Amino acid sequence: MALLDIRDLSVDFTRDDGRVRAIDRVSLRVEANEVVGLVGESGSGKTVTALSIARLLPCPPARYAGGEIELDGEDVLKVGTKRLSQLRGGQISYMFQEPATSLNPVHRVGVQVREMLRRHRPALATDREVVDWLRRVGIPAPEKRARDFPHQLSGGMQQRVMIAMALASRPRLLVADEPTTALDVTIQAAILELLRELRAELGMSILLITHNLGLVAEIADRMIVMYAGQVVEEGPVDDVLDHPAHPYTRALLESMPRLEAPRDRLAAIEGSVPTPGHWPTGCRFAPRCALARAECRRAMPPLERMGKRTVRCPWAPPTGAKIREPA
Amino acid sequence: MSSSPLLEIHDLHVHYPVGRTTPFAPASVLKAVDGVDLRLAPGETLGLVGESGCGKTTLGRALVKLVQPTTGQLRFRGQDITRLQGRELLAYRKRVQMIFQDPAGSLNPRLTAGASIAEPLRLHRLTRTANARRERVAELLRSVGLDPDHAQRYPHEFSGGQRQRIGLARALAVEPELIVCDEPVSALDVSVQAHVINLLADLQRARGLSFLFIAHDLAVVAHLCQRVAVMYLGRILESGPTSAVLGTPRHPYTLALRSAVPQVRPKERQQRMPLPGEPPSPLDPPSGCAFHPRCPIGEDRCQRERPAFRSIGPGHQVACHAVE
Repeated sequence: MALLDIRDLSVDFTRDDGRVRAIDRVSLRVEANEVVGLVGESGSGKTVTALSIARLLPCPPARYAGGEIELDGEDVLKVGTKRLSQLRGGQISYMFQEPATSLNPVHRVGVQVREMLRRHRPALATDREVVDWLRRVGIPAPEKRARDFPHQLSGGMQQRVMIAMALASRPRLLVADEPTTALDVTIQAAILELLRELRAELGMSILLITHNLGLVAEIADRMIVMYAGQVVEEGPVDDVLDHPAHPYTRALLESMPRLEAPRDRLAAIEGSVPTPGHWPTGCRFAPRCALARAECRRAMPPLERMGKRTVRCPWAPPTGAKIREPA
Repeated sequence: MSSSPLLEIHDLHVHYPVGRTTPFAPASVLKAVDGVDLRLAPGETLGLVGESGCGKTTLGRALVKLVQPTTGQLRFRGQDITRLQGRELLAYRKRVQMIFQDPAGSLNPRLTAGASIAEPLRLHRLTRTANARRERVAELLRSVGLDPDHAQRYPHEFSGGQRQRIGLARALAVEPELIVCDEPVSALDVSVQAHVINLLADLQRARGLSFLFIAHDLAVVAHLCQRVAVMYLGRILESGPTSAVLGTPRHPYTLALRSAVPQVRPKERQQRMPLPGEPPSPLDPPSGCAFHPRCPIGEDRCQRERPAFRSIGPGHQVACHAVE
């Protein structure tokens, strides 16, 4: 049984001009001790999906419009508030893009780490355990740093404190939403290495939400590509990145400048990601897709299983081969 | 690069006084740019890379005269521009423009896109009549791939990529020779970023523009720039042709920076060279070579002597004692 099993999840938002769907029948699994990368551009619905898992979306304006979220056998959408607050931080922890805004500026970082322990593993809520965690995430002179306020630490160190807070309660699942986007590449590399070590040591699973395909290639086992509120492709990372099947995945890869393989011109995708409320009928990528034909604009193609992958495009090649040009 | 350079930076220092930490402590000085030598040829795109806080933005701002250098010299087409004022400064700013990282923050929210683009036209008296100005704005919008009808809209009505294009149109309005681009694509999504990068490359080719391209993304720099300079704690550690600096880096810091970039293709992944610690505070830079506390190959000498910035190949310079 998967640790996290999201089935056909839809989330709506109420706005002044009515209700719009933000994610549309998203299914996603994370196995125990697995790292899954959830990739997409702004407006793809990846953050809404991630926040849904612990019901962190404010309702209203959000509304869970359908589907199930099963975390370790429990349906998160049905549990009561008391159980929910045990799950949050207990079974599932989050870390976000900007550590500076996620940490409380008026409390010393040691106190913030201890707060997590006090709530979820009270027997371990000691200064020693706090210092141990700060040491474990690579903070030098942890006894001293525990007494620092967040603003006294660099961005990389703040993100390490966030990791200590997220993991001190030993959650089964860490949801990391763009955890290194605000950091320099050298710091990013160190944080990735740390997550990799802690994952092996603690046996946890990670759902990594990012727009950076390089990060996913570095750390994830499997990846899911979202576009306009839907999953368009899912499969083992190396397969998807080496032989992207969905035209969007392929276009995304081709539009990236690459350090190792410079090219003359980037193959930019025409148009922009449609925002919620403005999704076209049929395949949502069709208006920007070079391979689209008339039927793509009429009916939504289903997600279809192809070997180790699922792809939402009838023109996708079985494996490897170049995408078939429609006649 | 023996032809006469467009821009020469000679031993440039930009220091900021910072307050005392305690009442009797000596006032300290933050050396944001600490002795930089660089040249930029006409029509060239020079990438300036480095981690946050290394001084790359301050250097860019010094070039467009948004901050005043403490010492050192800036020459533009042979003319000393270090201490320009008044009318001469205005004339210089017609030749050098800047675009910024945050496209929303660099446009006045109360001006329409057209009014923002028309502002430099008015300021430099480049168009005589309102009609001529309107036409020029339309032409500029077209040149950055926007619809001329968009001139009537306000910044909030545009996407991030479109706002960056407006910023670019505004910079192009005065037909500058050099544009300083400070992280122009790092706030954009991958597919939008590709459009802006292609647009910059096209403009450079079509108009023979020079760019100083400040970025932390090495892949973007490798794609756009002919030459690269690597900055660390206010100093340039390595500079040269992109293929040399990013292809076969010589400075240990460049090597580490390059190996830290996550690669999409597993086969392209290379041995990572971990960097211990974090960049030291520019308030209290290390002695000798600024990089020595984190350097894997540092010698005794590196702690004492600041390495000279010297030539090691055609146009390729390195500041490192250990490089032969």
